[in-house]
Amino acid sequence: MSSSTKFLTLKTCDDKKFVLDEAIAVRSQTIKNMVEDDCVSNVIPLPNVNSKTMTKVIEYWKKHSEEGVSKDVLMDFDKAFVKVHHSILHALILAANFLNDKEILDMMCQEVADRIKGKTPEEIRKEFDIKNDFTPEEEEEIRKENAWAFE
Amino acid sequence: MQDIKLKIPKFSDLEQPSSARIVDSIDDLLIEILLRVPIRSLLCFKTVSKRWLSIITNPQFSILCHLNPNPAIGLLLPSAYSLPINPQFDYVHFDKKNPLKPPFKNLKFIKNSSGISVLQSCNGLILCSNSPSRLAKANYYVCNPTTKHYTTLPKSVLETENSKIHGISLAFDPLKSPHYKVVCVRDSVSSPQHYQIEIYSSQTGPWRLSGDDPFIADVNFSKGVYWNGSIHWISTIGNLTSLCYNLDFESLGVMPMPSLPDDQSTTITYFGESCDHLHLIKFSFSTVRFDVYEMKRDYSEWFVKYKVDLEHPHELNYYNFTVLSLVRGRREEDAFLVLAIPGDCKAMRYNIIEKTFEKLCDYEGADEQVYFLNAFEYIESLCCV
Repeated sequence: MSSSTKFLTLKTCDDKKFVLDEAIAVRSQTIKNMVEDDCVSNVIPLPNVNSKTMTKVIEYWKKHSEEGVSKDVLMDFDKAFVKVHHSILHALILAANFLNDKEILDMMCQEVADRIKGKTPEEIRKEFDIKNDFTPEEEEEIRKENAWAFE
Repeated sequence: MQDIKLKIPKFSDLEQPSSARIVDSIDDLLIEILLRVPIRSLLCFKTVSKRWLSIITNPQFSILCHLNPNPAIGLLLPSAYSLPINPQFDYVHFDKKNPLKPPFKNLKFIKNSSGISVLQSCNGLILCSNSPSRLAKANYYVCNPTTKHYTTLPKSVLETENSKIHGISLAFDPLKSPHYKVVCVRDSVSSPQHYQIEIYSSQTGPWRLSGDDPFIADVNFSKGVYWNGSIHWISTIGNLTSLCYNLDFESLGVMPMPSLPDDQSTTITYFGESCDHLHLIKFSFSTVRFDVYEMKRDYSEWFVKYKVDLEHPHELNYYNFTVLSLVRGRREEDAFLVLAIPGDCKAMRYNIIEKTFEKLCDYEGADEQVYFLNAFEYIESLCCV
């Protein structure tokens, strides 16, 4: 293995460039596959990720690549990391999905799950911008069957 | 509007869709999120939209959702005052700090039938039957008490042969298969005084006879326990005997049983499964000290899992109590016993490792010990029946 550090340039959809140590960038399975398949030119385009989201992802990657960081410190970091506005949370899920980073994806999905549990269907529709496509009768029927869970 | 044939979600407005909306539109991501939501919330979320309903009720999703291990969260107790025609159930929730509404008071959601009682609880499903009238034989139902979905088991062709049913047991392990099997022990049609086994599989359909020859056994067939791919029955009086029926090989076998002293004062007071552990409690009437045994997976022996002493440090003055349930959890220290203390009309939780008691509930006027004898663990599950 070469001792010299190799750098990759990632370009987000809003044309911002991020220069990153390859050893860190390959936390993304997507980038890792590209590197291994030798199809990395100078710049890796990330058409589905914006710079704001990528900044967060890189912040996570760097922290989790640091040497000598204790488990407790990482846990505190993760706890603070997920405390973001729900739009960023969902953007991070999409980015982690595209970059194929299971660690971030799992953590963010867990955070969304923790936030939505116990909410009413109406609150969920609002949060996810979902249209209610049940007729009132259909909705009432399902509600009745699961009435005890609604209280 | 142009008709773009792309496999991307369609959004009606011209604005950039929100990230949340895109996440929601990708099945894999929505499933990843919903798998981490507690089952009770998922039941509510069925009414979010048709798409959410179809994901939550998908059989594969329900299996993925099944926790490993998936400990019982409460007990269903047949209520003392209910009439046989309409059995009521009391629900005892194990977590006093986070009380939950009972999933049901009675099994009336099973339609066209009265007097439904529970026979067995197995990894999130329950086996029920109605009280048969003189004219008709009992119906059997497999029911998910969480989703309140149920299925009526078909009648066996042997029903007409006047072959008495001695026990019927459910075998279900969602970590192995989304399908369940039901094992019925009945009088052999060909050999008098012998038993034979019939099997029903939710995957392959009607009742069929197991390949075994008719057999003789001295065990209590009404209390089968499913563990390790087999139904287990034991005798609780006289010489301790056992019988197991392995559903994969469709073969009968026996497991070793612990020895009992000859003095008649010791009996098996509990035999059950929790979180994939098979337990047995030997109990002597004159003491509040007893051992909890666990069976090794290779059936080589029962080993002492816990030594319980209810006198220390919390003096239990109630010598007249019953072990309703032994519940294991994710962690070793989660194990606890549920004790019914009929003289004092209450159910207690005894945390085995911490050696602490918690009162779970009161039972006014219920001073008959027999009242507590049938307790069924409630395990949350979305599994389909």
